[in-house]
Amino acid sequence: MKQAPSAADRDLPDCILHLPEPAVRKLLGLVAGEAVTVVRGPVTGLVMMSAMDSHETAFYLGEVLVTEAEVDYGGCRGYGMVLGDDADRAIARAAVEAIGASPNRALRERVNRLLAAESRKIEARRRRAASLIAATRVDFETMKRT
Amino acid sequence: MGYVAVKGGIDAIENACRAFEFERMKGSSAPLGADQIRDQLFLLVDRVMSEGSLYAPDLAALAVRQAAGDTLEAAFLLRAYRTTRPRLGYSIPQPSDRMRVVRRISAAFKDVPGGQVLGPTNDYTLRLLNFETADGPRIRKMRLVDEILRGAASAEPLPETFPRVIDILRRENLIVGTRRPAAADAPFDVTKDSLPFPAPRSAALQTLARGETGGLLLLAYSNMRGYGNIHPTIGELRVGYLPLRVRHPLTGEACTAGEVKVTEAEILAKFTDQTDGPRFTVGYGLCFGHNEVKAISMAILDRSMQTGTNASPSEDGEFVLSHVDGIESMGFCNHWKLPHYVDFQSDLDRLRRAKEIYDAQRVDQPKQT
Repeated sequence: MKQAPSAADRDLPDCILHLPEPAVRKLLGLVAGEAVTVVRGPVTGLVMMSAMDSHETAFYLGEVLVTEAEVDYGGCRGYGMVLGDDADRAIARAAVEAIGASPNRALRERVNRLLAAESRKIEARRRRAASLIAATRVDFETMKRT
Repeated sequence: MGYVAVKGGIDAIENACRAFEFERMKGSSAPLGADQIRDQLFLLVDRVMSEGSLYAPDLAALAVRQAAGDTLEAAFLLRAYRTTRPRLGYSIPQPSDRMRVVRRISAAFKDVPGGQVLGPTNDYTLRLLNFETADGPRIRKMRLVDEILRGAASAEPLPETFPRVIDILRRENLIVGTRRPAAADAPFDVTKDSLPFPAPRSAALQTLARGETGGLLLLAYSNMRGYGNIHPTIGELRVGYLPLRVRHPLTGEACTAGEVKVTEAEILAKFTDQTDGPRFTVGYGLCFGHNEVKAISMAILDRSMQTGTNASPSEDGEFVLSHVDGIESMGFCNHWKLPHYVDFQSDLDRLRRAKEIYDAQRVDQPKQT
């Protein structure tokens, strides 16, 4: 019976959004020999970002430059949208989604191993930066009147 | 009144462009990389993205370089670029308590749930030029980064998200609600339709969010100094990263495309007893990038425009929203440099004729003794 992916596995492809460029190329290299075909895009365009004020009134904050792509892998479709003008990353994001839905377990595991290793590096970098921010937590004291 | 075009001057214009490039390149310093601008002049890049209304750090850095540091011109370049790209869709609105916060302060309460986090700021430094941080080799920069990170290793981690400070007051029913559009109404999009007056709240917020920092500050400052009556207190100021979430075209589920750095300000303003007893009113500011002056100014103007009296410029929605766009205002200002030869000749003709009539009348009038 096919097991539902764990939350960590489900979120793993999102780490592609934060991968350094060499890691994106490495990921694309991993799937280069496979029959992954780009069926739409990659297109660089704009997404209007919606936001909400204090009273939950929605408004448009401004546009964000993104790149999107859609791929096919053995009849399984995958979609990726990433920030910036970044066709490789969008294709990588879409390819990982299509491979995740495909029956090719060996390839899926190879991709997941790479992503898990990169995800740990991203997390370590983020923790270090977060601890610097945490060190700026302040406890102001009001001065007593004399 | 019609305009009369001029033509010619192609060679001179091309040479003028080359002369501008020469001014930028003639010094002996190394060429400036767009990555250097993006990483090291991040507040400048943030400002250009916010005023250009396009979140694209790499392109904003390119624009800053091309414009030789002129923020209005750089924002104009981004606005021009956006017209060349297709609109792929709209994101799913995210409440700001989903923000990954790097800075969060309150001037209203000393102790706020989650704590106050100063984050990256130079608010508390002396404004003395620091000659020691001049250019150094890359290795020295890396060592400095390591040193800064090592010093913070033992700090207690921050929570993933922070509750809103104004919710403390809202729970006690001390905050006035703002008119909300009906749930079915999509937000107004000023990039698709001309701004109507009185402007719907969503249109006003969008216009302020893409406004020019100096323009917003000028009008907000006029209110702070007394040409208005808001008396703001910063309930909360946040800098952090909001997720960009879009609808997955294949599954229909929400998916994340990345994170966008924003600054948010909520100001508490003078209380009113117009509805349901005395309560505080709130002004809201949110913009791309790290730009605290802009977010606070936006929040003050959001609140002042709700006053409804139009007693001062910052309270007049039409006045504020018609004048805060940097590209519009600099474009209008700059257009006066273009040839107006025929208009001016016409003005001259009229002036000469008026002077002739004036002089003739003086001659006709008997001299008074």
